[in-house]
Amino acid sequence: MPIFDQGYQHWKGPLAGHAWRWFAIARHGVRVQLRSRILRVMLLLGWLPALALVVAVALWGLVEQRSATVVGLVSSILPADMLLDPRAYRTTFWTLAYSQFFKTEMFFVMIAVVVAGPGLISRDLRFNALPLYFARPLTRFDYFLGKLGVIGALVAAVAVGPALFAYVIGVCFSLDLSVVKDTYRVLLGSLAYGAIITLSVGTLVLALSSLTRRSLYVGIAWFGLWWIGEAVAGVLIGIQVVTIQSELQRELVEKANAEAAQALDHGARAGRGPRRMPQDDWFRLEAQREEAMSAAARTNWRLLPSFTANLNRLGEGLLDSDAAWVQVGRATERARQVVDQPMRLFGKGSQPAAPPINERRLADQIVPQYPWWWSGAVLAGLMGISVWILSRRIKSLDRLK
Amino acid sequence: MLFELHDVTKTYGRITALKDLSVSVPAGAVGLLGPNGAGKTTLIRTLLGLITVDSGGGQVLDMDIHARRLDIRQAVGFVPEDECLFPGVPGVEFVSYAGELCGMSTADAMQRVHEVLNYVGLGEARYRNVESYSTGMKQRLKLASAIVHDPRLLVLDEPTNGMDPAGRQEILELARDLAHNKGMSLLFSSHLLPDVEAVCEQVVVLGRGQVLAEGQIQDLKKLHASCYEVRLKAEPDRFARRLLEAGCDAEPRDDLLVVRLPAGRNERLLWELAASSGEQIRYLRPQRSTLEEVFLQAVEEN
Repeated sequence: MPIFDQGYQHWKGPLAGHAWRWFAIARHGVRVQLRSRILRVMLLLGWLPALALVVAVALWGLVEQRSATVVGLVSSILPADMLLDPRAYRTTFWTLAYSQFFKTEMFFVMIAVVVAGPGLISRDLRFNALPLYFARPLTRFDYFLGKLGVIGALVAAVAVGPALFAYVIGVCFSLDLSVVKDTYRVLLGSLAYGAIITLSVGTLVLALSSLTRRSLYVGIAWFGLWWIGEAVAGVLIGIQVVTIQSELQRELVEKANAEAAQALDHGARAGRGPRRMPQDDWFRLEAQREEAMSAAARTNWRLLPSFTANLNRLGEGLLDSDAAWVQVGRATERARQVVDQPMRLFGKGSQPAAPPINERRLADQIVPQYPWWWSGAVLAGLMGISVWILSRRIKSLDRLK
Repeated sequence: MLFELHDVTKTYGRITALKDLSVSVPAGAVGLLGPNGAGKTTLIRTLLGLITVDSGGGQVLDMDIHARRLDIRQAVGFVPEDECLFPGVPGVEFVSYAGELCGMSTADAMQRVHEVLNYVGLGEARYRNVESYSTGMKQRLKLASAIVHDPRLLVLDEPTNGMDPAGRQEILELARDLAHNKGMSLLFSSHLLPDVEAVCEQVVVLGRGQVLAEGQIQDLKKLHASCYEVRLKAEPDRFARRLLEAGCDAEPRDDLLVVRLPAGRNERLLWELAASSGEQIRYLRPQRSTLEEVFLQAVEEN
């Protein structure tokens, strides 16, 4: 008998509990996905907006410290109020920087998911690998969670990780710990937004991936959902804008015609020509258009067909970018008021009437104003459908061969 | 007890895969036989806690099949019939992944992987991607990934299907070694009766979702009272003719003669005929049924 049997040995080492089994699936999935050169390039490209975010928050730190060079650089871009007291606008700036960052990163997230996501389940179906998982101490939930973890890791690599990195850099450059108190909400919002992106994008791409054994079809379906949704939302918004504009123009033309007819009538009797149309009507039209668009924005459901627009809406809500844009609007409107008042005094009669003060103008134009929960409901509905598809398609091995 | 099921019924729509199946199997190497559609795969999945049965219950390794499914799967290794290997992954990573799924840490799994890959004979090919493996290598890789966590029971579903004789022999030797020398219980499902016979001491024959026969293979292979296997020193042809003249049935099989004696006669007749014809009998023993005969008889009776 040999002293040491080099054949099979019994295993007496420790085994982890069940709670983290899904993590092995996620870790293996990430490892396999990172072998794709395309994905690695995408992840690298995804860090470019992150660098921009890092630069932005770092520069703001320097603005707060009154760095002459940096203030000189940004003085032509930022309203005077913001430069006079940059700390008062710290939360605003960080919020808007992060909001813009996430909007940009959404593109990279969608691309990264289209590269890595389609094969997550379809590959297992294609190569009949489900017994590998389900014959082991794993539940279907562990399996889904593990696959979702791969998407989570991608979202973390593209969006949440860089956001955290930028936060740390921003705090370091501000040389002021009160920045944490002012901006912790941005950080928490970013984390929550990352979780929402992971859940929404992850469940949807996993559901699509479970519908076929061919990853290519999943990729096409993913692009279709993404771009067709965007296109439909774009067309609906375009139709709305054109409708509002033409309605206002029609009203204006009708009014002008009525005034012209009246003037002609008076002119004929008084022996004078028709009165010219007021010069500032077009400015008024623009103001009315803005007002109408703002009013319509409160109930504008037309962005709902777009998956990314729904995610963006939740992101804006979590980061509270509406409040940030209102504050920027207040600063710019104040500046306009300062310039406008003397012009009104000295140029009365010759200058067109400036639009009224509207602190919400920027917010209304840039941030979707419909209730955030509409998008939440759309995404929750999609998630529900995705979970239903997954539960129908991946039914353990409880089936006939 | 290896496993024990009581009145287990499992239906898929109108198809009854298992019908009031009750079986009790002690630890050891157990063969699972049955024609296509007999319910072998459903039985395996029931034992692994992968399916919910309509009625009945039981235990695997003293664990309830309803309440402790994950514990059962932790204690059982399964080599499925399907290929279930995804390409682009080296063998070492595939087995390591299987270990991690069973709760091993990455470092432990990697250490263990090298041991089991050496054991199954894939040490040299461990860093090759699995798609480059031959059928036999893939089968051994699946075996390695099933034993990486050192299960108490190893379930092999048609492990030698589609393999060349050498590969088949390797798998059988590994299975036999695990069962007889390493103390691992085995449930060996196969259509190939010689494979089952080569590895297992016990057998369960299934048919139409029910147990048709079960027990020790040696007990099931009944002795035939009037049939004998005879080997002679010389060529058997002449003695076969002599047997026919004496009213016996004699059928050559390999280097033996299988002789059926006429009614009322015993083995003394063979000695008398050999003495009278000048033949030397080197081997004489009552014939036992083959496993194939046991199987066919069980299937035909039901």
